[in-house]
Amino acid sequence: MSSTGISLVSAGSASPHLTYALPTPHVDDFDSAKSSNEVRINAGITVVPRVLHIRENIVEKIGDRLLGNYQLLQQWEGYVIAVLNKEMLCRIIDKTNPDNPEEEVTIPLRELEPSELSLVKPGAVFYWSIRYADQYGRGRTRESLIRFRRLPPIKKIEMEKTKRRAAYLEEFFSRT
Amino acid sequence: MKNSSAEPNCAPEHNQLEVSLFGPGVGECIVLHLGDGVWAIIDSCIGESGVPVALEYLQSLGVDPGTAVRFIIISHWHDDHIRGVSELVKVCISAKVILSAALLKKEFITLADAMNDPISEIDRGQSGLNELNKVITQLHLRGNSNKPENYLGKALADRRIYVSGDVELWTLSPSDHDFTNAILEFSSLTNSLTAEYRGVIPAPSSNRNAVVVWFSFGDISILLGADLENTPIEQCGWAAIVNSAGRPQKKALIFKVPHHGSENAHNDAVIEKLLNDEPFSILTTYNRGCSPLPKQSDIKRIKSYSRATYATTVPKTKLPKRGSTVEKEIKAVVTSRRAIGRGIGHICIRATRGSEPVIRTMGNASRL
Repeated sequence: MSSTGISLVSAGSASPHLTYALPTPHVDDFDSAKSSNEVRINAGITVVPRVLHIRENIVEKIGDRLLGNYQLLQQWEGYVIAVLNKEMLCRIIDKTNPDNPEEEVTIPLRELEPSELSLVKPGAVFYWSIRYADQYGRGRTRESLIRFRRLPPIKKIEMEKTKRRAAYLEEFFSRT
Repeated sequence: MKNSSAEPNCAPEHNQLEVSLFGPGVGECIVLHLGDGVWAIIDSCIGESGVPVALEYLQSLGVDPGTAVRFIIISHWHDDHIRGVSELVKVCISAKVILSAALLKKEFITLADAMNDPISEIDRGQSGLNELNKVITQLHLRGNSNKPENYLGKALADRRIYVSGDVELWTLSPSDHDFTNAILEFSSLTNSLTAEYRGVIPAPSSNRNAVVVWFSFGDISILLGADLENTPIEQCGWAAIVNSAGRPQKKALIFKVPHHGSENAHNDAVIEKLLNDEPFSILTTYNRGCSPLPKQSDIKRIKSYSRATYATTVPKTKLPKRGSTVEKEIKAVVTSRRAIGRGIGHICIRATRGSEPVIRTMGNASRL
């Protein structure tokens, strides 16, 4: 697990000039730091933001880090079968590994954000993600996030069209 | 009566009936040999290969589903009875499709058509609506080049749908009351679609529109109970069948126990008036929801009136293995968890006129 907080490290292979004690940086943090990342704090001292991840020469800066960095570990799509006493019985499909069998789980309603509670009813579709979250000042945390789908209702005009087609088919099948 | 675990490797004789019941834990399919190479399929479920089990089975016997299957009966619209049925309709081109008359009314077609736009995987299995919508579309296509009586039939109480000598096939439900109630239910569900966020249409809590089938083969009769349940109203559910004067007035030797053996579907009058003193009972299990079926008390009750009871039991499916981090988080969030089984159980009954049936159990099926 990575260390937390902001680290000030030297650029490139030059000798480090640190202004204060820092948590031990990860070795990867040094590898590809470039001069373009340098931030001159005061004369004679060159510092760069501590780099979290370096992929394909893209270097995340402090600004990116404030937004957070997430690593998705697992995701399911599910729907509510029944709402029991302070719990919901749900059927879930593994989106990370679709070969896994479907599962049924009981999830306490306390695991949901308050804003989601009004959406809990039989048939409601949700997404459940487990992920690592790396955020400035918070270190790495493991998160479980359940978010309900908010798909607008069918428009009345569309429903009228569907009803007309249904009436036609009913008449078609009534010839038997 | 003999029991065996050997898989049948050839089709039954022309003078032999067959009732094959398949169940993967959540799902049900019945394959019937009506004699003389004529077959019927009631409902559908999917095997591990992703193909409807009825097709897989008939092909393994060397039977051509395209010519031999004369009837596909859709007992009701719940997803555990309907998975893969559109594929059956597509392949079994000689088959007449029989379904509850309520499913051909505009109230149901509107519901199925309105939900025919799956946003993602979870929407596809919703209560069988998508599957039935595909069936309706195929029936419409067939209707353009066929006489209606050749491809479509409506199931209602006391309706004989096939006769050949002493072989008869009947539908005993839904009653007129259940037909009307079903239409009201469909209208109510459709109205909710324009008022709320779109989700999955949950399976209704009652099964009163299911098609019960009666199969007579000479002196042997079979009652296939679908998922029909009881209601307090005499004109609905099992009470309507028991009280009907229009149904075959015989007693069944083999009983497909309705609704996975649930107490709601048990009716003493059915045991007394429609079944032999000690019938052979067969049932599928239901490994889903708040109350998996049958319960121990259900099994005890069924065994009390049966000579022998068989079930397409569900293996204890192992939970999928995931990384320790994910497992820790799952344990921290959920209070209970189980995997939905996929292994198929198969109960096969064959008999000739005047003889005792031979019952085989294959896969996960077993005698209780």
